[in-house]
Amino acid sequence: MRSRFDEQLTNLNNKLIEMGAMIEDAITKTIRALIEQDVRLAKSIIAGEEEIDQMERDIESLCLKLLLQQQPIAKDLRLISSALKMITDMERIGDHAEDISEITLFLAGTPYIKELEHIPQMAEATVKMVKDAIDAFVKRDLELAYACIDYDEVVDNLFINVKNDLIDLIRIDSANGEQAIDLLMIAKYFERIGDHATNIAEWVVFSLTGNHKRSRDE
Amino acid sequence: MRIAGLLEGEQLRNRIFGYMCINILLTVTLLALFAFYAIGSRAEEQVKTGLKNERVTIVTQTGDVIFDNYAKAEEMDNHLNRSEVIDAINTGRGESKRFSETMSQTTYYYAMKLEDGNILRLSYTADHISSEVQKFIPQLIFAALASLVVAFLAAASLTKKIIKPINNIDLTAPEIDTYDELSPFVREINRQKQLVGEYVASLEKRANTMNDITGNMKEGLILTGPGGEIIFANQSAVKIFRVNEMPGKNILEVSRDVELLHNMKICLSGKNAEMVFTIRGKTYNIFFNPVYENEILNGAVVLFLDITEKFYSEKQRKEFSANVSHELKTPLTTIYGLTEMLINGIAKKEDTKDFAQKISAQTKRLISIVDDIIKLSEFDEDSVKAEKSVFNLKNLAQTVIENLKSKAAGKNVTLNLTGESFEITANEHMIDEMLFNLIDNGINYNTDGGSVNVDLKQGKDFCEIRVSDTGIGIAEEHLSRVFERFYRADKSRSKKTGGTGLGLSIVKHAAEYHKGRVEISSREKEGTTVVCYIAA
Repeated sequence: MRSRFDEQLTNLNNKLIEMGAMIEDAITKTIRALIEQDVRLAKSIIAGEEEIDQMERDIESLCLKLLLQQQPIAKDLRLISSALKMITDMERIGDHAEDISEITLFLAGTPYIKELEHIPQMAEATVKMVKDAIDAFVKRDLELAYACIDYDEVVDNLFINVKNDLIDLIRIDSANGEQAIDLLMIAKYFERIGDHATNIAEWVVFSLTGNHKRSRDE
Repeated sequence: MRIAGLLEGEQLRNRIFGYMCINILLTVTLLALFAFYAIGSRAEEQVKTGLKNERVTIVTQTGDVIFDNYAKAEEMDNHLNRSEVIDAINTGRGESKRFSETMSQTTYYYAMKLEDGNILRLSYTADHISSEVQKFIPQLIFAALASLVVAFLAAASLTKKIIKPINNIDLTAPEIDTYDELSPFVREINRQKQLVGEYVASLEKRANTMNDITGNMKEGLILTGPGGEIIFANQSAVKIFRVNEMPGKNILEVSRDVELLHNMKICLSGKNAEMVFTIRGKTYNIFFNPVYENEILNGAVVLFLDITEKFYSEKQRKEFSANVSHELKTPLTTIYGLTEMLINGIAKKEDTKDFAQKISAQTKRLISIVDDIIKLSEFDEDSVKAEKSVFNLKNLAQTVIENLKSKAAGKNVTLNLTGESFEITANEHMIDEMLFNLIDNGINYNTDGGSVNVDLKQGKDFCEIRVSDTGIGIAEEHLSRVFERFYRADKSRSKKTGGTGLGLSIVKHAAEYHKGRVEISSREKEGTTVVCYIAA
């Protein structure tokens, strides 16, 4: 016989995966909207943010209910407390997807000064991070979580590349400045998404081991 | 039946009964032994101590006590009223016994008349049996405890002995001859075991049949419970998602595709759903069907049909028709515009010739596009099959070069033909088209004063047609796509050169028809080399 507590825990687990799927979808679409300058897609991402927020509130109340009614211990307590932290990071990722899409809308009327090169690479890298972080949670895969934490460096390096690209563009023609700043913002948002994915991976590590470690070497 | 069975065999009952009897007997014997010993020892003690308790009294005939070895004679009462004394006076001897309840003692008296007429009385006081017993209480308690301990130990060992065969019964394969009383249980256990074995075997067989049937299915099949938890997944489904041990996992853990999850939700709310799903370069049509049991939604059946090929050929077909219409529309629009101007008299008279030339050029272009499309569709339909013949490849190449010589001269491009002269068995028309398109491309995308070299080589399995030019080359990012229909590396240029965008497509098609392949290598501003291999 499965107890109600077990059922609720499974439900929490499933809801977290579902929210993960939502943010993965949101940022994948964000990249497409950005590269293809797809206004409709960008608008749909902005509209979808509300759903992610709602999901966060649902999971939050489920966690609080579990904490209050079941007084979990050990592994269960770690899962619930890390779930509470993870959804905050997931929600922030959703917010950033929305932020990027808003800039996409703003830029939609004008073609890009230079074909986007490092930003799509960076976006791909962050999507990979988010996917890996959620995969690590789904599969309870410690190694993957560590790999995801380590991958943040790649995203950080790409951000520096983007920044240098944009500095060059402004140097060539100061009229490029406006778009360059918008693109820099986009890159920064992607960089932040990478950081939030790292946080998620760290919470996965915590829920599995009970330790806060930024990397496996610590 | 079971009760009867229990009554039938009395092995166990007899044994327990026997052991209990032995135990009781043992206890009683022990107690009795002790009692005998105690009483015996007491009697012995009394013999040993002699007549210590005996009282001697001498009474005169008047009843006065003149001697007593226990009390002072003068203080004692007149004894004439004592029966033994009276008897002794009268008959010479007398005896009596008196019981004192307060002392719980019995005193025995014996009196006899002495020769001087005085009466000698001897008395002996004995304790009552109960007080005698009281004296043994500590020993009795000890004896009881001792026999209890002995009995307990005996009982423990006996119980062990009885229980041992029961404990030793192997429940997975119990033997009937342990105890008669247990045989019905043993028989029942054996019967149940056999039944369970049969059920398991039949279930396994059913599961295996299911696995065999679904395992050979090309389509992926997943059965889920009402919460989306996977109950069954066949081999193909495992291959699609590359997730091991799918049963027990939730569909969420297998795929986080938002559309798939959305359709799953729809299905688990009781409606059918369908979607096209792409994963790792494969495209599937997924059907979601809710499963009802007694009108209660009990899960879902999800079926994956691989439509990759169909999907892409459909996509190609759509792209092709879109491209064809676009390619045809461009010259038609030009022709329409020019003829409109001519009809409305907008064009100046001196421009009429120029207009006509333009219309003619566009018409030519239209014809060549339609020609190419017809060729391609002919190749597609394999209608040119079986028209293979033996011909000399070098002679054919020479003819093609002759036909293109004037065009090449117009662009100041030289054409060279090198290599062996040999015969091949192939479709001459297709090879002709192939050579024409390759050399034509070499001329079209060349630079002033450049050259196109055709080299022929006969190999063991394949013969090689190598066409290299010194032209403008193709950028690397376009190389992989140049064989697609209507694909052009440089759109503005091909319009000028009058290409249809179908040339390399035809070349590839022709090579593949001859069980060969086409390789292309190019460097921008240096030239392009196309090598066709044709089965010899």
